[in-house]
Amino acid sequence: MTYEMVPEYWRNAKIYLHPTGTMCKKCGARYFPPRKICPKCGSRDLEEYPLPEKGKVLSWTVVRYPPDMFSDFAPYVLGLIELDDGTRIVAQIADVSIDEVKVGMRVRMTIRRAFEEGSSGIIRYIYKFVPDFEGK
Amino acid sequence: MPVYIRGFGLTEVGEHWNKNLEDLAVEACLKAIERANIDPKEIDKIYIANALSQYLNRKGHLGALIADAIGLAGKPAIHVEAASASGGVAVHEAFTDIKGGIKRNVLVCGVEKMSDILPAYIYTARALMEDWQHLTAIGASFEAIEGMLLRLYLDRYNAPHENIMNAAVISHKNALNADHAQFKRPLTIESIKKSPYVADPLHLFEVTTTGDGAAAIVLSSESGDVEITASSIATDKFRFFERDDLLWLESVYLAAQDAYRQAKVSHADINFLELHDVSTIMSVLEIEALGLVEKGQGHVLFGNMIGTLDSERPINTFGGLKARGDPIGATGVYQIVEIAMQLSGEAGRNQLDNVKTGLALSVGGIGSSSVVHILKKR
Repeated sequence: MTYEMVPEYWRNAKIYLHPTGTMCKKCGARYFPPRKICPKCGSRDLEEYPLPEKGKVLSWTVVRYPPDMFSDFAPYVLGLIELDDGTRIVAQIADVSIDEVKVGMRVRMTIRRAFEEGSSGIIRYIYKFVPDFEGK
Repeated sequence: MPVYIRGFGLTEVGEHWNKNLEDLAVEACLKAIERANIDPKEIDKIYIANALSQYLNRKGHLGALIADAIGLAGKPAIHVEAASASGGVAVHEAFTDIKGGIKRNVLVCGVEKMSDILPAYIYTARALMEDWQHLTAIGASFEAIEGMLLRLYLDRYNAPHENIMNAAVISHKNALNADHAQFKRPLTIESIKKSPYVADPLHLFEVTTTGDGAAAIVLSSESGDVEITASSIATDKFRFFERDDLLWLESVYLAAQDAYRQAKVSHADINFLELHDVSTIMSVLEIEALGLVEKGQGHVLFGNMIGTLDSERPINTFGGLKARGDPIGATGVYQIVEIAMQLSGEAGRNQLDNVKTGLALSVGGIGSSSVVHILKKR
């Protein structure tokens, strides 16, 4: 089964390959995913910015029964991550064993292979996070 | 206009291998129409609640499909989808039609047919209730979100996980004698701990599973033993990770506060509840947002086994989503039927004594939509 056809994946590349946030130019609030209207102050004057690539793990789990396209990869670690500008993102945490993941651990963003859209479809890449041993 | 429950009906929840989506819906609708003692021609409008038929069954346009299947082609009929809150939202729409005096008799049917699908695709289907681009396509199952919230809760409140597991134990205990329940068998803390993780630290036996089923009600401004005194919907930020407090279900809070105002009651006046216990952790977050307990104290209530049928305030009186079963788009209608059964004295071996007021909470996804209904015996 194909999930995203090429045009949709191309459109979503901004999310998957260059995670982008928006900042409200009026009140300074930051958002991921990007928004067109600021829910805090109602302003429509928001500008896009590249999300910081580093953050810390707020919570994590091990996905053992994944959505079908990730079946071949389970079990894998999934984290809820607070980036250094305060925005949050959910992503897989790679290059780490289940025993090593900790709440509060520092992580940094990387781009990795996700899954293939069938035998003739595109090979998808997405952001994942890996342990950041250099600290902040 | 007052809104009464004139009739109700349901199918057992389970694996109905010989019945398709229409068969289940027709069965529940005919029971509700018969119990309502109404000429079907007097039904003014039909709502069909369903969350996942387009993905699971390759069927859409359920309003016209089911209206025709029950012999009522020609009537206005609408398919309502709001993820796992589809049932609650459909009941709300029918309530609004009657309350406003626009319609007199409205049929609501919730239906979901899930068991034909392989488990891997069920996990994909459940994930459709959340955001594709920022969660599902990243690898987050619905249960993975619940697992991360459970870890946050355990850490923040230093709560024993066993307390939270009890939410599932209570639901199973209440389903033992419920004829229409999918799992009429007990569940223990030990068996939950022995079950594999679905998304650590959340165990497989802490979440709901696949079930087929349909439930229906006829709402009416004319007659019925039970009145719906409040019906309220609220929404929250769609992605859970954007919410200020990750462990607070604001939509549940908003819908409940509005419902208490409508019905002129406080949470203390509610005799029993039907929660959206899609997982143990969601049950805990829900009773906190409903105002039954302080924030961070939900696990204590379940830890004390509050909620069994012999409790002062029972919770999930036929087993809830966990044990009665969770045909996703239909569960919100099951809850209303079950409260109506209790209040009209037709709950069989699960009958509660001296109950006058019940509350149903239907939740879409991780609380992106919530619906609260309060029902009262006339």
